[in-house]
Amino acid sequence: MKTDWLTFLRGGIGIVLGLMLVAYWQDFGLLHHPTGGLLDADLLQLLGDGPMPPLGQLVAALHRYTGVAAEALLTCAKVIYLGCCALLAAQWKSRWVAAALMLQHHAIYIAVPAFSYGVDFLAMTALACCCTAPSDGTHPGNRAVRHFLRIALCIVYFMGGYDKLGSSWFAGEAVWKALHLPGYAGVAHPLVAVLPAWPPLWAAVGTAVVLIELSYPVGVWFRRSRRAVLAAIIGLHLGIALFLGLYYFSALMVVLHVAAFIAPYTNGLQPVAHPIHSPPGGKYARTLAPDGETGPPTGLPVP
Amino acid sequence: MRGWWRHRFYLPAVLAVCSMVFHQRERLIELPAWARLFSQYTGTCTGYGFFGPRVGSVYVLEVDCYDSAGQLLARLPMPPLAHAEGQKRYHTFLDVFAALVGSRSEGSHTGARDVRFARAVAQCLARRSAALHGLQPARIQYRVSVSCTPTPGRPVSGQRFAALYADTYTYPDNP
Repeated sequence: MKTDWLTFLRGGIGIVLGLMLVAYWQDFGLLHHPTGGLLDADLLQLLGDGPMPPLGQLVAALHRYTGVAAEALLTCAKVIYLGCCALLAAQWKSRWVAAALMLQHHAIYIAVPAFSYGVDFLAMTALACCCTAPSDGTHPGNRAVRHFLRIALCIVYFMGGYDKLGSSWFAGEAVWKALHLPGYAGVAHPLVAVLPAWPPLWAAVGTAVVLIELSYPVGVWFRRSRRAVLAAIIGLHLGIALFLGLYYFSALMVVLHVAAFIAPYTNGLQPVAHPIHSPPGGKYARTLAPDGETGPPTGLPVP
Repeated sequence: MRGWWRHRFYLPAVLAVCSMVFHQRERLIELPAWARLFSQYTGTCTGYGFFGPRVGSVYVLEVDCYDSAGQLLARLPMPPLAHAEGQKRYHTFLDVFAALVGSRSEGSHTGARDVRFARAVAQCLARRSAALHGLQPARIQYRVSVSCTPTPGRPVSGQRFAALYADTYTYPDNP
């Protein structure tokens, strides 16, 4: 079965966002209910950021005009969001479904940024890619969006590493503190209590995190270093998932890395001699051929 | 390093990259409304700090519920959130209490909008927590604290918390 980068991205994002909503299902009403949640409607309104209203305001308005209970409207919103995730994962009308999912994702997660963390914004970037990238792998826009995703990942890691430049990370205090934060506990978190409170160890871990993030924007473009950089960054995200319990964030980042830098050079699990985003038979194949990436894949051995 | 500069001009992707770059300098450049909307819909409206430059402390809101006789009914460490995903978002939201840290420092403007907002949020969360736990207290006392995590050089077992703000709310209908 041929799996190009966009197919992988759509499938992966649909699954990750669907699972994230399932995990969030029971607590959804507490954070979004316009009157029966954790916050009063007036305070929720003050938290809104941007021209588009958050889900709580939309539900309140619909409740006023239709008389349907807010709980039922919230359940509808969850079911529609989950349905869109399933359709995106199934690759059905992917661009339209991704556009619908973007609108919902914005209303649920982005419009009230106080309830959001990194995964929500990166998921929005991934959805924007799913929505704007043409399905035809030979279309110039397809390649452009893949390059946008690559550049976006590089900016993300450059800013992540750049912001960490300071004594807190190089001394290891930041890593230590992150692993001891209440509410951030993955399945491997009990191991933290076993590890020694030896400052040089934590300084080495903190320095490694900064170096991995800063090396990504440069190293991932070169054939010789790509494998090592991708292995390091995926390892970092596995560590974040296991120790900090940020499962969906880590899963999303792994999906983005695979879609941007690994899937274009493989067919399933097999390396390919020519990147599959420029197959010979596409509508735009003839116009792309002179400029398209040809030759052996970078970062993977020629079979 | 082949081919990355050779992609064709494709407006959405180019605009999104520009938005991302501009957003990193948002403090210097005030983005117009359309650009803010575009950056929200491309997910580029964030700083990608990821615990940088340092890991922030966690804020905690504790609520003590008392009946009309002054007996402690319950001590609520957090609202009844069922799953870790909801709890993470709740903890993220509690960062609004960062304004209260500034209000304690000398010379700060304690009447600032953020501080008043944080106090309103604290009272609202405390009242809603009690109600969502199915309690009908006559009075609640709530405290906002910030965690003080030990460093690897000075490990101390358990979390320590420093109080930031405390207040009482009496229910007018339930004396």
